[in-house]
Amino acid sequence: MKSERILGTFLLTVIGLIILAVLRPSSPNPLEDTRAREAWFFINKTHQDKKYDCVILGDSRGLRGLSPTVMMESLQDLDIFNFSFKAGGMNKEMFTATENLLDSNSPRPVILLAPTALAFMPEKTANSQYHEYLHKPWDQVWLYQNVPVLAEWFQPLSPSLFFRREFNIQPKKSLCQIFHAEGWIESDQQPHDDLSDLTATRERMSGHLVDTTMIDEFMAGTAAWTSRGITVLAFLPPSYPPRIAAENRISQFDVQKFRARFEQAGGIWLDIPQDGFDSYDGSHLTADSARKLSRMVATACAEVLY
Amino acid sequence: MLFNSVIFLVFAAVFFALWPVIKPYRQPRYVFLVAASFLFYGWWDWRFLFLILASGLLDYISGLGMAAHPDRKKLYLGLSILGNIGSLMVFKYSGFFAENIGFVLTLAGMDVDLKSRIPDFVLILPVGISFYTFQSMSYTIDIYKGQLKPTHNPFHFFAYLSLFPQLVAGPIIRAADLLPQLERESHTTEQDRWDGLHLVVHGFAKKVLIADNLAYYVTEAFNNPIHSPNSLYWWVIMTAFAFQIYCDFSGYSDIARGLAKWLGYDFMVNFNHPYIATSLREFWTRWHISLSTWFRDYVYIPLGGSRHGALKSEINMWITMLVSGFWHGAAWNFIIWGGLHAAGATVERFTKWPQKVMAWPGGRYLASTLLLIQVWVTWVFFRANTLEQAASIVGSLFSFHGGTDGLMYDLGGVKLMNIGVIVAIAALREFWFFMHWNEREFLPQAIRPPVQTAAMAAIIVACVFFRGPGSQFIYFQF
Repeated sequence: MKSERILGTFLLTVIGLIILAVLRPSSPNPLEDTRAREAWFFINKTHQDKKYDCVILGDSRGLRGLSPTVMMESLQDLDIFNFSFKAGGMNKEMFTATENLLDSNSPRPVILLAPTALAFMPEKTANSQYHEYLHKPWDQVWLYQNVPVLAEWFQPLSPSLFFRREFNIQPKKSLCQIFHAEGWIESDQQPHDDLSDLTATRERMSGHLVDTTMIDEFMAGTAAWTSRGITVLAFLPPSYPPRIAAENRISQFDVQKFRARFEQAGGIWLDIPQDGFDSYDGSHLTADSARKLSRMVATACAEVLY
Repeated sequence: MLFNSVIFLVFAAVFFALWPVIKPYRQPRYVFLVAASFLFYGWWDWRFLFLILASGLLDYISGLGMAAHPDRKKLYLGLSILGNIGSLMVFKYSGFFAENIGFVLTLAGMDVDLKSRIPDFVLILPVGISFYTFQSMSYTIDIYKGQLKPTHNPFHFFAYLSLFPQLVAGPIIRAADLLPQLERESHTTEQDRWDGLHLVVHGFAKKVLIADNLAYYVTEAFNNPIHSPNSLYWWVIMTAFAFQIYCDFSGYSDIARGLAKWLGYDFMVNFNHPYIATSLREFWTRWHISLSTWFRDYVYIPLGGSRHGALKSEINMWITMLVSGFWHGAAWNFIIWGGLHAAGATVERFTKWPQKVMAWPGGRYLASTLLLIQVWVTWVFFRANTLEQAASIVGSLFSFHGGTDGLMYDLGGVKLMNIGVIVAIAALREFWFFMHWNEREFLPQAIRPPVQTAAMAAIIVACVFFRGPGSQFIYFQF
């Protein structure tokens, strides 16, 4: 009797899994419920063998702000990958990882950097998101890389899904994300809110200065790359201007001095306008603005490269 | 290897396919258990297998030494305790002591950074070190006390020490319980296998459905450097954490017990619905029972227990609770957590408030609620990233500031609903036991088996589709 129950449990489980995998209820907004796609995206980002002509390195503003596909419309001979991470630091470790993605046989190897004051905060040396996915167990990596459809089918649902659908409960902020294989996260949040995080940012950053050792590493890395014939470009990614001003002031990140040192190290600075972009949360650009920025950056790159 | 990983599924499938073939033969059985357990542990970091081997060999040899040379029993016991506590001091507490000694030296005007001089390898906390060193020590202490005869077979000993279901997060099994079980060929009945499945599935449900889903909100709250001053917000978060840690840890224990049942062995119950207790003293007879009985038998009673009057008994209890706090983590937060539990137990002893409250109509509910408030507040110190954060959160809990509007602003409807749904599931389960309900009262015998089967399948499907984003078990870090 009991062995029938164990067998019955497994049979019912398999039937239940298949039924729910195929007929899974969708979230009120499927673009909010993207845990499996996010894992697939970052596992691919941290565990890939492919090499590129141009690699972009930045923090979350680079991650959500630069679309390689849009850039490749103007830079057609370059294969571009966005290697930016949330809470990403601009230190030696990330420079090494970035260089590993660069095709050493490329006729025009380019590294595009999107530094911000936040990327030079001491705690950013931890590169927490990069490490989280770099150190995923190999079985998970294998599964996401080889059978991503399984991960998609079995993507978790929100515990309150049925109540939300039934009572039409909306989240306070709804972040929608589309994960592009070339390393860009197309993002938007409803409602847009530039201001609410500004005060919190000021409080959070108070007394926190940029780490000069990290900036030294950044300059040394730039010099090493340029000496090996790699074109190193950089620009300040735009955001909500009062926020950028607050970050730079509080952390004592002097953009002009930084630019001068970068150019001395052999890098080429791209002048990208800081106004005229829309942010959804006071820090990250909306999808339309990200496309606009990608076009502008690509045009500026083309002027340098061609 | 994590229980909640694909690789463990493969490991378990291969292991349990081979187990019936190997288990009739004693020596191959020991070797198989040791090899599988070492593979299970070494999957995380093979280098630390040498630590288990070294610590185990020391205790194995000490056990044999005590049996062969009873006149040198103290020497062998000393060596065993020194070795085990020494490895804990090096791998778990060296950073803590270096930081605190460095702080004291700085106060004395000497600017010495001791922590930076500790090799990086030593600062990696080997998974489960607190569990297996305590398990290993209990072996030699029991031999010293004449309560256990040492095993002469090293594979027998290591099968006991490293048995994979409980190696990294308990329960801490006594040698006197497990060594005899390992010695004989195990037999499992259909009922054992069903009970094992029940424990494994419920353990996974606690971990992935409840703990992992709550972990997301708790981590977000504690890692946000700007704390909300809203009182209700922190009561919600602490309720979430209370169920997160309970379901995470007891879930692991349930899985361990279920796997042991499939092997044909019995592990002790490690959690007995602690949140339905009505006093702190009762709470500690229900929470992490294998650890609290370990501390009772190997710390509290050797210190004198309650044999020398109320004052000495309280002092012994305080020492035990503070050491227990320190066992959980190398930080002042954990010591304070232990101290708060000791303080609560002392107040209980002298005021006898639980007994008085219980005598009132509905007193059981009130006593249980008061106990939960105490436990929730102490959990703040257990979970907070810093002492300053803990103090700020406790301040918020009792500020009664912000009201429901503040709660909605800080959490929003969806997060609150997610936490509410998960906590309600966990709390209802505990309430079931609080009320002493039994499924036999609700389900006629005839339909019980198909309902149980369908419920089990539904829980597994829910584990897959409603699993949370967490991964590692909390108690791995202890």
